[in-house]
Amino acid sequence: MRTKTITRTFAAAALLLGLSVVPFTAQVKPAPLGKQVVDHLKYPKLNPIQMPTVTRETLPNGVKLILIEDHEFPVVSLRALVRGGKLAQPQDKPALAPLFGEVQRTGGVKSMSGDEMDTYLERIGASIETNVRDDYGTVTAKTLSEQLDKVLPLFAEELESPAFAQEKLDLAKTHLNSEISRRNDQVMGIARREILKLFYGPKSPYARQIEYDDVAAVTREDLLNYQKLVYRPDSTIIAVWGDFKTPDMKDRLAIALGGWEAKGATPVYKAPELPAPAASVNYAEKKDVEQTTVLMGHLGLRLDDPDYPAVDMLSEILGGGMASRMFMNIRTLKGLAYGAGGFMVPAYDHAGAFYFYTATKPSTTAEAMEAMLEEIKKIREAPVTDEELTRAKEGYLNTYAFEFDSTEKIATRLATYELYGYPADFNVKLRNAIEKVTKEDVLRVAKKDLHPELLTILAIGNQSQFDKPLSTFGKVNDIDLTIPEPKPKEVIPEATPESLKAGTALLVKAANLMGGKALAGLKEMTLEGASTIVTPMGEMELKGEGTFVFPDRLHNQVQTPMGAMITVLDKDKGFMVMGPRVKDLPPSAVTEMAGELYTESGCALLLQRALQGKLEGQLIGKAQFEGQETDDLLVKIGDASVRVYLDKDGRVAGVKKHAITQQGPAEVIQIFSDYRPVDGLSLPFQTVEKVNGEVKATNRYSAIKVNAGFNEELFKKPAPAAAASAPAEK
Amino acid sequence: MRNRGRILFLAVIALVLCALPALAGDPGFKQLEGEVFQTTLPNGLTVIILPRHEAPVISFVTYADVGGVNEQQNATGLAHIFEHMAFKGTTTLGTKDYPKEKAAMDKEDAAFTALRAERLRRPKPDPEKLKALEAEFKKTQEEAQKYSDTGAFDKVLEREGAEGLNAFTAFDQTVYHYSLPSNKLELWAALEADRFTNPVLREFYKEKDVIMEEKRMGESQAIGRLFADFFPVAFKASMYRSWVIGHMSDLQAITRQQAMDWFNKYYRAKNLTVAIVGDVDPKTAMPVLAKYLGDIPAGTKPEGPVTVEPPQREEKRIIMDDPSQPFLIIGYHRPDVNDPDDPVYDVINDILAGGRSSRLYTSLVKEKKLALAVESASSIEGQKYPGIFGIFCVANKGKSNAECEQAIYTELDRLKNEPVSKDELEGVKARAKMHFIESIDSNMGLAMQLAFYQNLQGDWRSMFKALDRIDAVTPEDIMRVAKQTFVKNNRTVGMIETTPAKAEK
Repeated sequence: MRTKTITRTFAAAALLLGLSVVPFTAQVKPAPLGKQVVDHLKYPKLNPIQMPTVTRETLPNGVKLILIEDHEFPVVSLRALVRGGKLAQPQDKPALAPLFGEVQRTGGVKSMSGDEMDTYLERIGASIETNVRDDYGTVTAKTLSEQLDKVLPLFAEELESPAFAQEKLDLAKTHLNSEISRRNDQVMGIARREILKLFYGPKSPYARQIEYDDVAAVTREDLLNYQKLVYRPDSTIIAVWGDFKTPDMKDRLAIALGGWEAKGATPVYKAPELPAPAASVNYAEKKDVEQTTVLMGHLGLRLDDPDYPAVDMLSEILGGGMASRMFMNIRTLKGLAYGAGGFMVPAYDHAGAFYFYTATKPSTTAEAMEAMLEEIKKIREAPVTDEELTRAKEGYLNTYAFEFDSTEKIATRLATYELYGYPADFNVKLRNAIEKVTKEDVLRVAKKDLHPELLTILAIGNQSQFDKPLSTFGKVNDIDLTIPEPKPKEVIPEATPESLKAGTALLVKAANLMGGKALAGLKEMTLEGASTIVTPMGEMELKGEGTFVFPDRLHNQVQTPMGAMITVLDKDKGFMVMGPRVKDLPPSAVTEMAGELYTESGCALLLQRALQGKLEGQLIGKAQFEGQETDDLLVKIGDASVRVYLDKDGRVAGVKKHAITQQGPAEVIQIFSDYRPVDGLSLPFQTVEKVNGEVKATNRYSAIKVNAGFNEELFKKPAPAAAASAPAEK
Repeated sequence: MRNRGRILFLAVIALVLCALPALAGDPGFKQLEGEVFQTTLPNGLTVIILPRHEAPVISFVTYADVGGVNEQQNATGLAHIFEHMAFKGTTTLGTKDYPKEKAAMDKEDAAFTALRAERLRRPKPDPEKLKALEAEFKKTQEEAQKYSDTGAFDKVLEREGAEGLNAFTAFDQTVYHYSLPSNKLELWAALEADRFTNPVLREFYKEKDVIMEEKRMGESQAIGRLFADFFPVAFKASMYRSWVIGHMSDLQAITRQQAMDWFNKYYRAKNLTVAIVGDVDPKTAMPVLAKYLGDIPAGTKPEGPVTVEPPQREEKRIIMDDPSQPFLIIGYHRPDVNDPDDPVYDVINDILAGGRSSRLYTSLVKEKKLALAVESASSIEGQKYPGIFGIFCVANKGKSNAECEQAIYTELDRLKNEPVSKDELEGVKARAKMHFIESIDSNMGLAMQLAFYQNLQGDWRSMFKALDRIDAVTPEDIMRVAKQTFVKNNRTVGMIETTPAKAEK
């Protein structure tokens, strides 16, 4: 009804203004043309930006609230940010974050299953979603304001006590595995993933690629532990905007989140160290595409870098839009591509990166790459023009009003600033800094921050059709896109009386081959020799000696370039000595080491126990072990188990077990060889150790002595005086 | 990175899906409806304005009632080519010396016409002649380029603070859109009037190269290739069969004159609608709009396509062997958007795949664990003419298209055989209200909705009646429509079946 009124009002106004139908058609003078308008148009003053009222509160448990009322529509939105994200997940569990992000929601909460939540929320048109990003996790909710009472308790539970139903974790794993299987179907997905790995390193939380085995490694326990450690009220910021009254909303949130408590100090998550940029040319072959996708760039700046405003103008002029140099050169003038350009994408708390992009037919790949490189080099050689800088600056300043055109944008921005410790008026400061950028600044940062000699270049496509080989641009590193298959899951058959009998008989046979009676009487052994150890810095040769007093005492001494390193296990205690420093071994390490002793020297202790009838073996069957056919036995030692492989003569060829290494849980294989007689025994003089399939150490013994007596002093912990020169580590 | 000139396909769906239902009688929406101002300029141009003063910005939409459906064999892709060319400037903007540029472009066109004729010669072109003609064409192209002030239109708008400067071409429409600070209404009016009155299709042949790259980009994705092949199978007659981007051969052959003819036929005032939403007052805006947009020649409303898709006789299937992972699309013919059953399709769509508790999601994702994702769309391409109700499914690792397809049919059969509960229908309505709000809580969203409803349903007011239409849908309607639609001989099934990469030829 009101439309008509307005129309009528307008008609009246139009008459008053002389804008009747006749003047429209009888217009004699044509309107000025585009160019004249553009050159001469005077704009009225822009209506002022109206910043809504923002209320900030901190709840007693530390949750920070940012509240903005907006009554245009009857809707309330909430967005919680929780510090941590991928930075807080264990290094060896890269699949945790995406699984957590899905199961936090689908796995439900204490009061309701995930499926029940789906129906409950969707019947009232509401939604709750969860996600985990690089630096933080999110829980978002959106509801008609009249349904807020139904949604708020669930939102709080999602933060405080998600249930992580096992069934939904399994489903999320199916989804994540499906996504892995599809990750090479979309060329832009490949490009984005690979360039991040090249920029930040393949293990960086910002770039880590998830494999099937990573998915398998995550347990419900992991999700619960992560939730407990990371989802704390004092790490949480909640932005709320929409149709509510601020004091009322504050009270409701205080009640809904009142029971959520944090124990101990608030954790601090630091951005990891980043690698220095280094030039490289990388090629990933993908033949089922019509184009070559090209990305190039290198690490750049943080958003709060004082030079970011100048770099932003630089990247805007270089690749920022349809009027940018790269777009003009590659698309508009050469017609080589649909998209071309790039940006410096900053990050809040670590270096962002310059990304330059294009996609072109294979036969113009090098031509397009050369055009990109040409523009990157050119902008460092001469100042940009006044026109270019004005356009970039005006463009930025003129779009500033759009930063305020929705309450959601404002609320989300303020929450993000709060999360990273940026001032609330950061965007105002940035705007003012951009206003001051000069041509000289742009040239200075082009020379300082843009490095054509350090570019990482990535091309994905079919090189046989390129106009020039990629090697024109430098030594080419081939990227293999093959998706590693999951390690086959071993199915261990249930032990039967038959398999136990057969297995134990084989163990006894192996024990007899090692020395029978001599093995039964073995009380201690001393080994001398050298180890070749593979370290990240290369191979190292270390001399060492060890005394092993059966069954649970060990003194081990290795000469390292930093001095002697002594490790001592004495029944239920242990310590390490390194130079002046003495450190007690934690109980977990003591248990771990005690277990290790069973397989030392060709499983001497294990076989002795089998001979004494204290250990049983379960025959699994025949198996290939390091290139030979073996009998495969499972031996349980307490809670742990070890696989023992016997060669065709029945001797121990090696073992496989799971152990905790410095890099986390790993599969360890020991291969025994060079068996020689020692006082009625037959013992291996070489042990090769593989961790997760890679040789980490080769031990060669020059002398092994048995039952020759030992010095009890070896097991005495050095007096505190010796350690006093250095503070003891905790 | 902004890329101009998208081919719009799935995005239109999202838009239209969101557009569905409003809650009848809600005072908030009634007030909004009351604030819409609409008029028609004497030249026939439709103007819709909605004031919304949250921030000093305005969103602008120019909707041309023309799309891929208006194309003809031998010149597919023309609608989209013109859309790209509408960013190339005018007789005054983008040129260094227009009379000289015009003369150079005429020579360029003559050279291209000769080259085109030779390329199309049968039994076969003369390779020597082709070479000479290509060289000549290249020379004329370089000559014409000298007079071009490249990118002038983009440069002005980027400087003046345009946000989201872009356009898209779909089956039913071509839409140009961007936003500006609200003190620059006159700039928009002047530039828009200029480009739709005096366009110059400069750099035409280079831009066709760009469009061919856009086509290659789309078809570098297996799903893009599947869609391109799906529609010509699903439709045997309707021009909805033609993928909007066009055939490579046609893109190569289309001339500047053809694009100008397209402009002259379809870009007249009577075929255009502008929608303006934001910090704007109709009273002060109208004189400015009339001054500029009033100069666009009136023209006549062009005739639409004649060909009507005949009923489908048998099920059609296409299977694409590809190294990519499985993907499934099932399409059923359905009537156009103005059919009385249109809202029934929207309700069915929401029941099937509108959220985590929807039937397909519950069955395929949660219970049978067959799919990573399953979606539906009440209309997957055009809506102005009879189109396609679509279902898309992304199988989990180790699951097959066949298993997913069967599970989907089980759910479609349920719709045919069991009435939908009252409770489930209530959920549809609640979600509809939320989706409606989401679709209109930005200036650009509102401007798009107003322009789309005005053109597709003849009146922007239908936007505010959408929930009444949803409200009226009964469980019996759903069963009836499901029974007539979800039958074997009415469907087309397309799928990607994974095969190892093909050996090199």
